[in-house]
This record gives sequence, structure tokens and C-alpha cells, in this order.
Amino acid sequence: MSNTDFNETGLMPAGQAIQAESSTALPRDTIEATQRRAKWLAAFVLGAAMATGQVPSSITYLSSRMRGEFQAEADSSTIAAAVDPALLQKVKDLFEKGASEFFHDGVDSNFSRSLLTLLGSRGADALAAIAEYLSWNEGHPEVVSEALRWIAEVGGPETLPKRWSILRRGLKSRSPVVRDGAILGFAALDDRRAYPLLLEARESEQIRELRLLIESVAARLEHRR
Amino acid sequence: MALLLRKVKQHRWYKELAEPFLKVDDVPADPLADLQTSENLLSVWEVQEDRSNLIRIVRAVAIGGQRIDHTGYILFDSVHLDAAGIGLQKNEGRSDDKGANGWHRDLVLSGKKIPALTRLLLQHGETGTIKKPVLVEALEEGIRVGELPESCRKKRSGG
Repeated sequence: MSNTDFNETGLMPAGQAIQAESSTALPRDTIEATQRRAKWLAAFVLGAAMATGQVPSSITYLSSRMRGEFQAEADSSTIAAAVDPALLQKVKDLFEKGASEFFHDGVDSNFSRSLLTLLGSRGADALAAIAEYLSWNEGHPEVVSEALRWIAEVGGPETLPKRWSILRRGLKSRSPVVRDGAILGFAALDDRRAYPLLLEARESEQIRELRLLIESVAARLEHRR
Repeated sequence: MALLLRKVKQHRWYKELAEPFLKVDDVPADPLADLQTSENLLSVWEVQEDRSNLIRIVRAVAIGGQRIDHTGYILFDSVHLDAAGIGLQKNEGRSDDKGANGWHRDLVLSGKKIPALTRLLLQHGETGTIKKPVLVEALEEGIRVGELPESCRKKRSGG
């Protein structure tokens, strides 16, 4: 099962750009209004299913494609996303629980351990659920930032486009803490194809420390060319 | 005076985000998570003026964790400590890099002095993050030249 927000191009030979999704700028009020409609629709569908006593495990969780900053640049061909609602709930619980923790560099946390377990057991499905959850913009920035750092590191080439897409959206987050996680995620990938993305992010970055961080990561990637 | 380094999560120390607090003679609360003391001492490291030992110190700090990861730090001049009434002790470090442990110092703190330290770090500190790939390379180099024991290699993947 995959989140169709991602225009995943599959594995590509080194040297080719990864095109995770097209860029679509939407007015903030349009995004927020659509986000509310999406949540209402999702609740309605789930509620209707529960009222009839029939909630199959494979129920399709419908939602609109325009749900906020993580979603705003989604592929224009996307109409709906299909994510296992039980898995989505698990991701939501995980991220909410993570908000009670303090994270430190190089130190495992209950959140990171649980995230790794989830990614290890559900792989691409877990990434799709995480992408969906992040599109709601409900996650605590520290938790989302921590998640982006881990997402970059866990998984093989088969999940790279999904992970790349999540990180790329993180670069455009309104939260500097989330952007920090996305930049460090790309640093961990250490993949020269991120170089143009980072240059683009640097142009719009307002926080001086983040600009310097982007420059240091980009400089390393440039030397890897 | 000396240049001191404290391991932090860099994004807790962005100056732009701290400005609104500093303007009203306050400090943001988030950075306090990086100033956890033990026996009223806060571990810091002395960086040489030319910063030639910076990566080695960050590596020493990083291998003290469960695994090598991106590691943030804040650098500041010890000249600012006097004004805040914060003492500095030269106490040997306990990292796996025996050659780096001589650069370890402790700040002597109290409950009232921690916000003062936070303020001076936000006003005068310089933050950075050494990226994981750089630290992994430094780890391998440290093992190769004998600065680090072979057992540190497990920190590449945690454990």
C-alpha cells in the first residue's frame, strides 16, 4: 500500500535526480479550508463504517490531497490517499507520546525505539502512514524533527523515494525545528542528489544557523560530486 | 580566556527564536534541556584558539552516547562566565579518547546561575552541528591512529 501523494520514481541510477513530487503552491486559506474538509470527510467515512458495525481492517482512509505544508506540494494527479487506519492511529499515538520526551543527539529514546520497530516491521506502509500523519501538521516539531533524522537512516534503496519525499517536504516546513531535522536527514543520506534541493532551501531560509547548516551539508555533497 | 564547548541540540539555541525572550529580560525554556547538571557541575570542553581540536572533542562527546549521530554544540568564550559568577574547574574527562580528556572542564552552577548561563550562551554563543558522516570518518580515523579503542567501532550502528 502506498500513499499516492508520492510520485515515486523508483530506484534511479546514481547521478540522476530523484523527483519525489511536483511543486504546487497553494494559498494558505485554501489549504486550511481543504484540510478541515478532509478531516470532516475522514471522520464521516470512519464514523459511518463504525455505525454499521463494519470496520474492516483494510478500510480505505480517504482524505483530500491538500492538507497543509507537508501536503501542499503533492503531486497534482493525486486524488486520495489510502493508508491503513489502524497503522495511522498507531503512528499518531507514537508521535503524540513522543512529545513527552526530551531528545538528545546520539541517545536513543522510547520514541526512536518504537519508530524503528514500526519501520522495521511495516516498512513502506509505515512510511506512508507517517507521511499521511505529517500532512496533518499536528505533530510536535521536536518529535517530527527527530523522526526525520531516523527516517533518513532506516531502510534500503526500495524505500528511498518515500523517505526522500518526506524529507523534502520537511525542508519546507514552517517550523525551523522540523527543517533542522530534514536538513540533518539529508546529511545522513549523504547523497549528492540532494545538493540542488539544499541550495533551493538555503535561498528561502530565514534562520541564520539553518542557512549555515545547509551550507555545510551542501558543501560536503558538492565535494562528493 | 578559553573557548568552551557544550554539547547541545542546536535547534534549541537559534538566536532569532530567543530574541523575544531576551528582549523582556527572560530566556526561553527549551535550551534548559541541554544544561542538565550532575552534582551542580556542567560538563564542557576547552577548544583550542585555532579550533584544531574541535572535531576531536565533538567525537569524544559523541562516542559517549549510544551511537554516533549528528552532534550539536555551542561554543562560547569563558570571559563571560565571571560576570555571571560561574566558576570553572579543570576536571579530567572520562571519554574513550584518553588524549582528549585533558581538555575537559566543569562549570560550577546553581539554580539561579543556569538561566544566567543560558542568557550568556544565547547572547555570545556560536552553535554548530558536526554531521554524522563526518563523525563516522573521524571515528574510523581515530581508531586507525590509536586515539580510540577498537571497541568504539560499535558506536557506528549503536550499542
